Amino acid sequence: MRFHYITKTAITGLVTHKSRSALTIIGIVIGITSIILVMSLGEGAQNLILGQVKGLGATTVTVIPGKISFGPSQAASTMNDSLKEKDLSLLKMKANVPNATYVMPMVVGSGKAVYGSNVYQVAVFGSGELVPEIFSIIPDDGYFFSEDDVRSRSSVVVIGYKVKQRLFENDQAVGQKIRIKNNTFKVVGVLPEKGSSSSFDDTVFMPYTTTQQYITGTKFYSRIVVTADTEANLKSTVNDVTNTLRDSHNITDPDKDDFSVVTSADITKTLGTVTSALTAFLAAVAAISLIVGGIGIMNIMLVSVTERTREIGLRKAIGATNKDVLMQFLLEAVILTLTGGIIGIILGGLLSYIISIILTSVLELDWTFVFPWTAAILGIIVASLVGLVFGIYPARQASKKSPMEALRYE
Amino acid sequence: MLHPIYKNVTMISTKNIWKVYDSEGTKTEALRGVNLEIKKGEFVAIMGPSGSGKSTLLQILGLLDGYTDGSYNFFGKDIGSYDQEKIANLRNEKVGFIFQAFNLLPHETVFENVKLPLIYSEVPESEWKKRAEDAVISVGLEHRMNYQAIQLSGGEKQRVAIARALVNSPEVIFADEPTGNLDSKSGQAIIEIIQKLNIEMGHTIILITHETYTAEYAQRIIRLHDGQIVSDEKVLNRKTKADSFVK
Repeated sequence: MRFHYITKTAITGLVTHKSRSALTIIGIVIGITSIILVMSLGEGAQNLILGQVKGLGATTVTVIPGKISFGPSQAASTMNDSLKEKDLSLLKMKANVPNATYVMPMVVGSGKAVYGSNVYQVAVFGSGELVPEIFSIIPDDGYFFSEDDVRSRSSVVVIGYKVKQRLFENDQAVGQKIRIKNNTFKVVGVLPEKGSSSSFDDTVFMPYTTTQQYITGTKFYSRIVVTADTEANLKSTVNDVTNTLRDSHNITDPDKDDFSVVTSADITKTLGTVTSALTAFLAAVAAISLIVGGIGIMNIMLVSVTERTREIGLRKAIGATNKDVLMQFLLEAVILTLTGGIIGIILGGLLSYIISIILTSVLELDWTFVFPWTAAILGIIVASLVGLVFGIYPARQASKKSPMEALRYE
Repeated sequence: MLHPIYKNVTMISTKNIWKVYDSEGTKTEALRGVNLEIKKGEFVAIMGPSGSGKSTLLQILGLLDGYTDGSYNFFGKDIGSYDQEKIANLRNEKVGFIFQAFNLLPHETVFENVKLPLIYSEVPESEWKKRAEDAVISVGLEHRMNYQAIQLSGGEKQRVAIARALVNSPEVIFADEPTGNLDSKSGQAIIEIIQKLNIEMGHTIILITHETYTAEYAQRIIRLHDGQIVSDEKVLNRKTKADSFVK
């Protein structure tokens, strides 16, 4: 029997039972839709996170207190007091880290910023005066605070774009005073809009000394940022920073480090691995519904084979071979799952597009819609495989029927 | 009309055919040593009461079922050694079936139903349309060509089944109680068409029926009882289209 006739016969068989065919493929549609959705959103999230990390620059080395970890325990690392003023001084010495261009501590806190009746939850970044150089961000109104401000613990702040919008709306911000944790700070600069991928828009920068005094009440640092002079010297800078701190903390066993030195490449890699693993895990969960869908297909195909026993008998009586019958029913199963797969891909793509619009317009995230082509192709292959795997048993049952018994079937 | 040269060619020959059904240890002997010879161009009716083994015999002769013992020569070839695929091809090329229950695909058109055997055949696709149309015309259903089988009357359905049996120009047509599901008028029309296939087109016909009236359209009547042939006689007053059992 010619292949296109087998296909035509299979399609006719499915079209004859439209509603049953439609209901049968729902499981596959849900499975593939979920996979496409998860993969698309996962890729979008990865791009968003990595976009933020890349903003750190290729030559930036960040020292974090405690052993490195990404995840819930990261919060605990901000409370770790292993990075102290002595470490900062040692790192600033050319003899210790010869390729360092800038060394700057950071103290991270948070609080409610208040101006008049406007209140906005902000991240407080206590930093040195080198933020414009290290992060390539210069206030478009006012100026960034100076080394003197840091030394004298001045109550000055440079505010992110969104903080300015929420607190001051269209009014002039520079020169005004805002309150954070019952302390008054003078706004000396407003940062330009960085786009929603940057957390700087929600941030208030102030001298780290000021942050330690008024916001966190601590003596240690949350971060020490070191920039290498060239990308080629990044590795040696990492080594120099590590050795300097080990000396400072009297650590001989690297396993007992109470700090971590990471580059943006490390963070990118780790976050990439984490988000990929998470995406893969979610996709695997979604794939379970494909198995359930496959069993549904097998079930319905078995019913269909029983119901069409006489048709099978007739086809065999007029010359269909076992192979012809097997192919017909197998193809019916594959066409079912493939149709489900294609609908799932379109639906998944559409849903993730709608979600990306919501994330961009409502949550103002710098989210880009990514259509996961690899997942789509994989979806087509997986859907066909589900049809093959779960269709083979019913199809074999059909092909094995004796024509005489099949014709006798009531 | 069959050419006289073929008159004595043996088409079907069985020697001591046995068929024993084994159902959970209970053995039923459906056929007990059937010896039979049917020549090309013959019209044979097989009769017998329920359980006599006539349907079993037709299924074995029509290559739909195997036998337990004995030998079966189809066109001089012992089909006992044939595999499933070869037998399927043989059914497609040499055999046509007409069933009591019509066995049409209900949602396909008359044309598609008649064409069905061709899609499993070696006949070139370019000939399918003409062959199917000719077969439909030969049973007088050209005005129903694009009707779905489900829309037809019983008599029309059986005519479609006859056209389907003819489309591959088979050597032998097996008809299993073809008038059993029809009213007497339609039944007569069908048996007349079947007889026409034999007389005018030279097809070998093997008919199963329990109606003597229908059987008398054949040339020869074989009677079965308890799985054995009890009589094999020529029909002396063979019925033709001129006669009618609808009085």
